[in-house]
Amino acid sequence: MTSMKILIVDDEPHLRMLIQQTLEELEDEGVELFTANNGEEALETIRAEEPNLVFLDVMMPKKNGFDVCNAVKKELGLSHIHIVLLTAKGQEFDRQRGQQVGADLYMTKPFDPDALLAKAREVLGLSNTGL
Amino acid sequence: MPSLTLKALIGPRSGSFAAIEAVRQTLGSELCVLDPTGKPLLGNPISATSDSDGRVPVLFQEATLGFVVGPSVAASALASLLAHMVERESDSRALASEVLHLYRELNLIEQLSEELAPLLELTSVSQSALAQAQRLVPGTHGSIFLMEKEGMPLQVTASFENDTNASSMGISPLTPNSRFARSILERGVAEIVNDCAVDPRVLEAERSLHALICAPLRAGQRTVGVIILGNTAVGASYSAANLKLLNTIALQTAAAMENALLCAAMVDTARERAAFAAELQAASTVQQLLLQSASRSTPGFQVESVYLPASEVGGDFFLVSPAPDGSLTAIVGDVSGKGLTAAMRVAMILGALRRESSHDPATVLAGLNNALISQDQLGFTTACCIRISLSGEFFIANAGHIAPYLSGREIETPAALPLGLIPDQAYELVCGKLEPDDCLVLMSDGVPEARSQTGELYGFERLSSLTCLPAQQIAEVAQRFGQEDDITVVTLALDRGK
Repeated sequence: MTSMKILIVDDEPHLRMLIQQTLEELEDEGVELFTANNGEEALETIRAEEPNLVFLDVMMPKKNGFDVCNAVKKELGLSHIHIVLLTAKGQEFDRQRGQQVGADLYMTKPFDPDALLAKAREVLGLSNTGL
Repeated sequence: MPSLTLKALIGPRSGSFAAIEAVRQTLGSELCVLDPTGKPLLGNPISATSDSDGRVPVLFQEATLGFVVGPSVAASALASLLAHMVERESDSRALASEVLHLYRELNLIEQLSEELAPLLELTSVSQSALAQAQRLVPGTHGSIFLMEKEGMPLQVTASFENDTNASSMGISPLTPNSRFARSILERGVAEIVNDCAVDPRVLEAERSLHALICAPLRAGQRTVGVIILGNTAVGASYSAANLKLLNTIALQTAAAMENALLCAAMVDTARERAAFAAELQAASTVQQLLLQSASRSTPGFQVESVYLPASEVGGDFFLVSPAPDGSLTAIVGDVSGKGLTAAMRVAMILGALRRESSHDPATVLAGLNNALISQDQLGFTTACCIRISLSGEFFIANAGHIAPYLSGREIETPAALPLGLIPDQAYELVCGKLEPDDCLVLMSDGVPEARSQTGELYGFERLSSLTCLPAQQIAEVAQRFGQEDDITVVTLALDRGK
């Protein structure tokens, strides 16, 4: 059976850890969690692991979230990978650009842990056990 | 939260993997790290089999997370390092867990704000707020008590009960009689009672609860109610964090309640206005009907009358009626005050005038004066009454009303008090003669007191020329100049065709 994979991309280590911890309960259901701390590392992991779902921070050095998303969806042709862009609250999110690069959804930080977990379950087709 | 494992800490995808592997290599590549079942996590277990080798457990909070196998000294060192790292990881996870908890609270409070924003009804606001409080603060019972107006009793606008012990037998121990809730309402400060058995404010009926928490709902300067939660679980207690959270919910709820209360007040006002407008419209219809019949057919005379109220109902009146001898009696008047009160007085005056059998102006005014006095009518009424014979002789009595004009000349009348002030007043008569080309004009003060947008009064000087015009034109000129009061004009002339 092909295992299900989630990639968490954020240049802020604490945020990475928080998202990871939120999603950790999915590991018991066979989901593998990967992390990357910048856009380039994210692309390497995506090429190697082809995760089902990517939580992708928008504001990152080197390659930002839009660039990574565009590369995945348009250049690598991995349009089946579900990408959720993460944007800081109060930061003007460029919805048009998000749509142009093919992002599936965007969520604001500080994120709602329950919403994040529910989204992951939905994308991976796992039953939602609720709170 | 999944339990902490060595695999998660030192697995190839872990951030610590490279550092731990470097330490292991330095201490001795024969060292091997195993999980609790003996499965290797780092290194090769076959190379760690000499007699001097040890099997050192990696302990964390009395649990064995795995083993380090190899030369005893090196294995102990690596096991200690791993135990320390596990402890650090555990602290970090506990902190992260706390942050995620705060994230959840933040989102639930934000969600509450969004839920409350469109609600304009007190019960809906209460139910929404209490549901959110139930999610964030533990409790088996909860209620919102509200005092809609100052001095009114507290009412339950929302409540929940989730008592698995069922010790309350379906009867909620939280009621608006709660002394604790009332003390919060009076003091306006949130509070916790973690020992219900000894707090004197806790009623006997509330003793099934082990802990209580209550926050005031402050809308503006007034505390309109409280949100209260209780827990029957043995050993239950509330924390300062719970109190802060409930207070935050209470603040948001109170703001929404203030909106709901304002909205309810606005709806009440709008209803009252609509009811008043309907009453005014009904009064206006009645008045129009009364005044339509105020000018009866008077053979031998040319009579024109115009009545333009300044609002829906007016305080002016007039009546033109023939006498049995063929003469004509006309009266024009103005009651003090505005609106429905003035309109009711006009209706009463018209009724009294219709019942009056005399056609003598002085008698008519004296009778009306006494009728108004007997009705205990507040305010006063001015009126000018005239009787004209078919040959043109006329008699005028005036009770403080604007004097009539005869072909552009004011007819001087003796000063007299208005009607309705002092009983048994007598009114002097003034007599004169109406020639065939003459026109006699009776009007209300709405004509000379018309005021332009610049504040200029129409005044009395212009009345000489104005009163030579037909009634309709006199009224229209005054109205165009700037109507401020009711305008009534009645013109009387002999019918030259007769």
